[in-house]
Amino acid sequence: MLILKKGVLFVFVLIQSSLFSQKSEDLIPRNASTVFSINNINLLQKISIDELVQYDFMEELHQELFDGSTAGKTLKDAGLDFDQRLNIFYGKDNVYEVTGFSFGVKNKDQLFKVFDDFEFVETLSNGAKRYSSLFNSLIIFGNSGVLLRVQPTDTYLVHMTDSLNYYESEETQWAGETSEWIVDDATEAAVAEAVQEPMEDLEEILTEETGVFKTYWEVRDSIDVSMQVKGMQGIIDELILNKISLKSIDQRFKTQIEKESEGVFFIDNSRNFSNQGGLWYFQTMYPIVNEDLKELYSENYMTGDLYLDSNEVHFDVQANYGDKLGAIYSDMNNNPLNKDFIKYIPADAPAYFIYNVDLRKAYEKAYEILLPILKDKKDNKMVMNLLAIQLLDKLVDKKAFFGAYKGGLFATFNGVKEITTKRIEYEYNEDDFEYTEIETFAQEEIPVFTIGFASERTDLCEMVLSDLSRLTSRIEKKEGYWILKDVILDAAPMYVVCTPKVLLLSNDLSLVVDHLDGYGKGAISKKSVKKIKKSGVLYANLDLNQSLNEFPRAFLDERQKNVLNNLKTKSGSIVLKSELSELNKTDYSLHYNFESSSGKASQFLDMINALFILSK
Amino acid sequence: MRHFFLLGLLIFSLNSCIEILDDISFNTDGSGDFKYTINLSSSKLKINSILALDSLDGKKVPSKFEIENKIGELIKILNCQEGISDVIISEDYEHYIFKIMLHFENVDFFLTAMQATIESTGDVADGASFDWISWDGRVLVREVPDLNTFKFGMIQQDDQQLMKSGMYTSISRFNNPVENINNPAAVLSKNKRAVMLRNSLFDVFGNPAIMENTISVLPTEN
Repeated sequence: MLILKKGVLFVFVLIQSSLFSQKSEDLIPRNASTVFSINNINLLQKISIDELVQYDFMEELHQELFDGSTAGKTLKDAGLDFDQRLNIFYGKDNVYEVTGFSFGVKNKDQLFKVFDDFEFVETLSNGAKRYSSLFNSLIIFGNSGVLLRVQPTDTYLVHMTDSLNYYESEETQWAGETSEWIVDDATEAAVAEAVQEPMEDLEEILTEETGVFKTYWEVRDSIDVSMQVKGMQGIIDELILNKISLKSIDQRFKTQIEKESEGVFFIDNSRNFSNQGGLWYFQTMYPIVNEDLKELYSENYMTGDLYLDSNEVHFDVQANYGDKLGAIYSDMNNNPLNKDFIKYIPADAPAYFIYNVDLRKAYEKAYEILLPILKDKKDNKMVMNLLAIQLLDKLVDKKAFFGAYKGGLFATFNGVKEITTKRIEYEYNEDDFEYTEIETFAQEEIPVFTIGFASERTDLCEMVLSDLSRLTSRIEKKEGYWILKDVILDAAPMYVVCTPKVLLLSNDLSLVVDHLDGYGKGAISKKSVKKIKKSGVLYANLDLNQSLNEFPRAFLDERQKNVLNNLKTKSGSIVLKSELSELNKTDYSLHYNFESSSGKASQFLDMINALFILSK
Repeated sequence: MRHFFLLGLLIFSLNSCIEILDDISFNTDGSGDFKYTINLSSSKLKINSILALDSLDGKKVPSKFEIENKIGELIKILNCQEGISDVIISEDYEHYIFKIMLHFENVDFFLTAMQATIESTGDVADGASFDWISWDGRVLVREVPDLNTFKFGMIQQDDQQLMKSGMYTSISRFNNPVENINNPAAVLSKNKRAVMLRNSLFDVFGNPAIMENTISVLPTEN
């Protein structure tokens, strides 16, 4: 008896420990291809939840969490366990789209005061409890929960239901009792009249006339709902009952999510690639080739870590890929620094970036790798396309073509300058209030920039400008440069400088007047050049004080203004750079050094917020 | 119609000032001339930067060509309206000044024509009032259109502050001398035949009633 009791106790303890050892990251379905996870322990030790929920990225979450009936409540009121990670995920395959987030649960009563639209549905065989609202399911398993929304993709729904649409356009109806498609005169007349009308009218008329008739949209809705139920059940069975999660099947994700950094993200590009709607033509016309290209992306995924140090936010991103893509990237990205770029970047430039690619090398490698893949196919169109590609490759002078546009470029933001603009005002005659238009002048600020393109054939640009200048007085040759009058916003000139190795476009008068051959000692320091040389394809430097605070807001859209507002009160610098591309990965890092009186966690969250707004 | 919504969005998302000038002359026979000017010359840089974009806040930005086409359509609609003649719309894309001028046979024709034209753009909310003016030959009761009833009246918070520098000027002209004006902010011309009322565009947006005015003129001597 004692043994039996011990046995029961053991099983009970085992179940309890299994139930409560469950963490929020174990509740991310394997269908998720993008996951953003915040490690709450670290973050929330440094910032209050009330402050946290003010951020835009939390506001989005709020919208998912709270409907109108719970307006004004915060995450704090929701009984969430901030000792567990908060994981936001998204995934899409050919049939379903799944979104949701998983989190720790501290107080179930509080949770359901906020999740008041959810009603209890069932207790699953492993003790997990399932609740549902109109579109979402909430599963509470031990001390963790996951909110799921599963929907069939539009493409799949259309594919599944287009035959119904065909029947409808054939002016038939489905009479359930007789199990056959029939057409009666009244319906035929109604449909014939209705097809001339918009779809809403069609629905209305058909329903009024026939009663039992289901329109295409009604049938499609039923299929949609039925697929949602089926999809949700499949995910619950797999994730909750069989415990198959993204973490359990994907070692790459497991490694990433177990990191102690304040925030991590994981994007599986291989799955994102194959589900790209924009590739539908390619996928439809060349399904086999698409499969081969998919293989190119099979090992393509990105991971990122956000760290918070004493006065620095550090963002590490690793772009991973397979050997074939890696070979293309390596050839494209690993190039010596173009020295002619450096001399045109002034040391006091508030912001600059250098992108040092070599398109010719990338083209040659892509040709070498992709051609054999495509040559395998015996499809008519593919053979013709291939023939065209090969002929172009042989006939076009690649040296001249890629010499004119090598791909590498740099840009600098050199502060702002005032330009004089004309405006019209009215002068009123006091006798009769008749008015005349008078021209006045005003000063407005515009950003000063220089963009340089690597090119060994800047003579071509000279040729084009020279010919065009014969047609218009707005293009004028000056000593060492060209001026294009009023080309910037119809108010300010742009200067074009054709140096032997770089084509420069700028609205900086001081560049063309004083620095046609570069800034010399006034260019960026040797120390900076050393850092740039050490980096890979990308290097960017931004002085927050000088750039964000000076940049005229008039030139930004609302989203950009939002980012600026988030960072505007800050001072410090942001450096973004990549390492040399390897055969299977490229590392990128973003360092944000700040000098601010506000807490470092706030700085960290400000940065996340800026990234979030930009990525929206 | 989307273009006009966007034009409105474009106008009201400007950081610099805007000037609106409405100028209406009344003859004793009930006819009159209407001039409406939108002066965006102070916002030229901003407009050019917006027009250089494909879209702004997720909405397509119309090209100059599309704006010109739309204005052409408006002229056609106005010209077809009963009691309306001499319709001229001028577009100055160098300074961004847009003017509309027309002659009306009486105020009712004028109001009906404006309603038909504005409604054709689809940029007006349901229930918007078009009873801006009444004129019986002696007494004019006028207000300005409530810009809030137009869908483009959704102004960003940032821009609201900056709109304070914009002006709305309303001028009413008569053949006979003005006898009485009920809006104390209105000013009478020296020849006593024109009344001007000016307010910040921001205030007009917030409270269109500040532009309301009742003006009576002396009767014509026989």
